[in-house]
Amino acid sequence: MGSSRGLARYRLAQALPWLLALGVLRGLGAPTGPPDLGALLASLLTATTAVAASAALGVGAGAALAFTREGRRWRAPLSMAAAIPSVVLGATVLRWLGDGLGVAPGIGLVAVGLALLCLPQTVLLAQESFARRWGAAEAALALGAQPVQAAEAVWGFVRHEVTGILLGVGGRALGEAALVALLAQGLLGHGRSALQAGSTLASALWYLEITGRVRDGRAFWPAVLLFGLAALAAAGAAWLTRERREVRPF
Amino acid sequence: MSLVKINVENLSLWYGSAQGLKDVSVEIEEHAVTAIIGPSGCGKSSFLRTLNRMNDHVPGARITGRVLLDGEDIYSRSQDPALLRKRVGMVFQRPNPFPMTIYQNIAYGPRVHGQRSEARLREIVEQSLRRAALWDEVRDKLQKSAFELSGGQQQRLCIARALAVEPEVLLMDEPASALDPVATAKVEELIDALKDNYTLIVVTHNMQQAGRVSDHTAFFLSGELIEYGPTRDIFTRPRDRRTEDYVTGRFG
Repeated sequence: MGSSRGLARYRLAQALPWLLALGVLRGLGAPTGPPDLGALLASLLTATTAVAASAALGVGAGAALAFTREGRRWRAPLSMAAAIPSVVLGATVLRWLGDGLGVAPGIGLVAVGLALLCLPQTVLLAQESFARRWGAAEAALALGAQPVQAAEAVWGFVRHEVTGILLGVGGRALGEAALVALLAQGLLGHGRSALQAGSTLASALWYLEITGRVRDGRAFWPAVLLFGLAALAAAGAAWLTRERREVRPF
Repeated sequence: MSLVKINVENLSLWYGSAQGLKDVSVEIEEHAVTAIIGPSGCGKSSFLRTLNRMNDHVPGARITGRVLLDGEDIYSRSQDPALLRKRVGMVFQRPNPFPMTIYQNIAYGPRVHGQRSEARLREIVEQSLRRAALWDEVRDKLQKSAFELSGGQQQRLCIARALAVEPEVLLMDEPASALDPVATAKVEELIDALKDNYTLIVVTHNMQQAGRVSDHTAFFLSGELIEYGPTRDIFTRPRDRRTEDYVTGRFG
């Protein structure tokens, strides 16, 4: 359980620099649109929704995969899916849902994209966590339990670990949400409310595509500043968490 | 006349390209204790796990041959592994209670198989704990965590949990190897008491234990069944030189 807390702290440490970068950028007076707490609020709301959605599916799927023969075969595809860049997934989801279903971009849609982004990682971590308790789960299977029932039997062991996992995944979701909220609102300037501020870069691109309203060259320097800050923040986070990273459980 | 409970015919097992069992054929007698002995890695546990299809959960595991339980092929397509495991229970090397109360541990199996009546569950819990010779020690702490029990008590709890689903066969994979001598003696007494109602198959590294508790013994070596027969014969008049070398401690 302690190592799960460590993982959660590590992930949150990864997320916080993005929020910091957001604040600094606002403080510098960059042309980022309305200087309200919209992006922060939207980030939190989006991340929470995304984690809740990915947890519901991911923990269940991870539990089932941990106790089935087919489970291990899914590890490589899931690892590959976990590595898909957020903007690619975001663009795909928004394009598909936006165009196909006529759904406007907003927190809900962004959360779906982020949930899909987090899902492979949630499944992998939950699978790992359940598999650690294989002895008790195997005993449940030997009593005639189905894989999901076996997961129930060992849930008491893993609930603390899973809490840590979800916090860890939440940290990533928060980081992604903060980044995309900043990009969407700051660079492209669309979104005048807390809810709209949650739109991703992908949704901003989608917005541009349908409206043709490009926010000119002002986007360049904030982008440079953002990535510079992000690089510094990432280096700082890596330094601050260097010992924890060595004891990461996964 | 003794009846055959499990009939294993030309059973081979592979883990990927590695062969774990080689053309094993054996008849397991009903209401008797059969010990499986052999050196580490000889296929004892693999054999045990083929009898309730636990190897289904091992990636890359596949078998050829047949395992008949009361004449019915347990690997046939119509066979539901969950229902098979209700009939063929299993106890593992290390005690592995669930993170629940003692009561919930025992009630888990019946609940999984659809038993919802709390009154009936209470009966099953008491009956199972009595059969596992644990009732007197835990009757006042059924609502305590199973982890509050000693290692030996936890293992008997696991046996009681397996008995709660009323299996016909009980597979035990080195059930006393993680226990101290006192707890081991209690488990051995229990095995002896259970054979009137169950068919028991016990994997053990301990040949004195095999001699004490079993009616029949099977000796495995490198995935092959070298010799099978009454325990007394295996230990006093083995037919195969390799069996003699093993039971006399020349290797293993």
